[in-house]
Amino acid sequence: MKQAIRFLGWAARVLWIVVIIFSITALLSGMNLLFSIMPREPTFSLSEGAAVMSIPFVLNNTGYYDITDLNVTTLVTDHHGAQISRATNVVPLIPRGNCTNATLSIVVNLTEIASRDLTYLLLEDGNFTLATSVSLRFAYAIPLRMSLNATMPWGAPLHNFSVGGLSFDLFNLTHLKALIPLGFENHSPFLDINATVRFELYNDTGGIIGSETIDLHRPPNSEFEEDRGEVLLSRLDATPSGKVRVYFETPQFRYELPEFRYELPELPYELPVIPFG
Amino acid sequence: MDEAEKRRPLWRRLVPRVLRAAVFGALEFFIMFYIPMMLLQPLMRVFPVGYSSLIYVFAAVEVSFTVAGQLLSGTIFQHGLNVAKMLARVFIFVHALNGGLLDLTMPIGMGPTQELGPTQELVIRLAVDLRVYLAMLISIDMVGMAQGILKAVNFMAEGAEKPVSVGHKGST
Repeated sequence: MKQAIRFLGWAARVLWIVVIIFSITALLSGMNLLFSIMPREPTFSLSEGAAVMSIPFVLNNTGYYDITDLNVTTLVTDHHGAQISRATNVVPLIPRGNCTNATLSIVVNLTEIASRDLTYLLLEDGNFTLATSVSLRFAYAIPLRMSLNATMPWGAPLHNFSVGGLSFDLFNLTHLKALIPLGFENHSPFLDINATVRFELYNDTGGIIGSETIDLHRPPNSEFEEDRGEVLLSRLDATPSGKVRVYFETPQFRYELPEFRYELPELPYELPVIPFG
Repeated sequence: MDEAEKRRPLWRRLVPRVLRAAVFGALEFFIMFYIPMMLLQPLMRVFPVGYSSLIYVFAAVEVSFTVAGQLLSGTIFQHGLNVAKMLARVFIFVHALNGGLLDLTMPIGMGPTQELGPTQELVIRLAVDLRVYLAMLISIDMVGMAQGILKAVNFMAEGAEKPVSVGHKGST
């Protein structure tokens, strides 16, 4: 009996020492790990219709244990809860003493935004929610999951976009000039807008009666500025009312505005007096 | 308790026990409270408030059981208290580690950036599955508990093996 008691006493002591050493080393390793995966300052870039925010992070495993199954996932949602982007980075193994450089890229694809039901993002400012989760297995035994929520302001590149209020001028006997004012603010902090805007005027039968293309430039964070499209249209083809289509095209995205109607006012004109005889 | 000790006056029996209990209690306090607090001090700002109070509770339970165990040394209650101490430890560990699934929320600040604007307040949520670690702690306590039970059984067995002395008032 006494031998068994003595054995159990020693077993408990040895186990305590093992657990205490494991606790201290795991805690130190965990703290090192926690501070090494702090996100650095993000960088922004634009490429092929996508705004890319890159968050570099260094995972320096200076601890005493290996890290396995590292999975970094970032989900970006807008202020309406719609998913904008999802990025996942997987590192199967980071042995102790090794350093892993990884970059988490959050891609906001403007082409996709313009083509999906997310066109409000081009027109409305808001906040993006960045939900980042890091999961890993520590020392092959302790699963750990870290999630980080942050908000990022979203500046709409076509904020306060206004088009309409058509006015018509008599150009000559056969043609009218439609003046279409168009203005917006570029609230985007990184998107330099060099756009081509195409105006198309249609009569009531659906035939095109005039079109015009203008070039616009709005630097990032620019104030409201109004431009004017001047469309020359044939008076013979014009009907008392019709519709206008506006296409807004930049290298990053293409946006078609909802069409709107116009009413052609009564325009005074005089027939040319041809000398007779 | 042997016969010689039983014959001593009560104060002479109590004073050494009280002194020993005080010394062991102080030692236990130093090991179970002072050293962990000293080591964990840098982490205290990260841990939620409840954890520092749990360390106080843990230290109080340890010291109380140690002092009581020393005061009742040489009796069956000492072993009973040892077993109870191990059980209390198991409950404290399970409670402190939330059954092995820890969930901590830590607010951190992120410096201002040109693109993001003013300083952003970030909140890190940390979920750790410590069930393996908790199992290790519980197994150690189970070993300790088994040792306590065996000691109690051994104590009882030794008591039973002692020769019973029958006093004779006179002989015929």
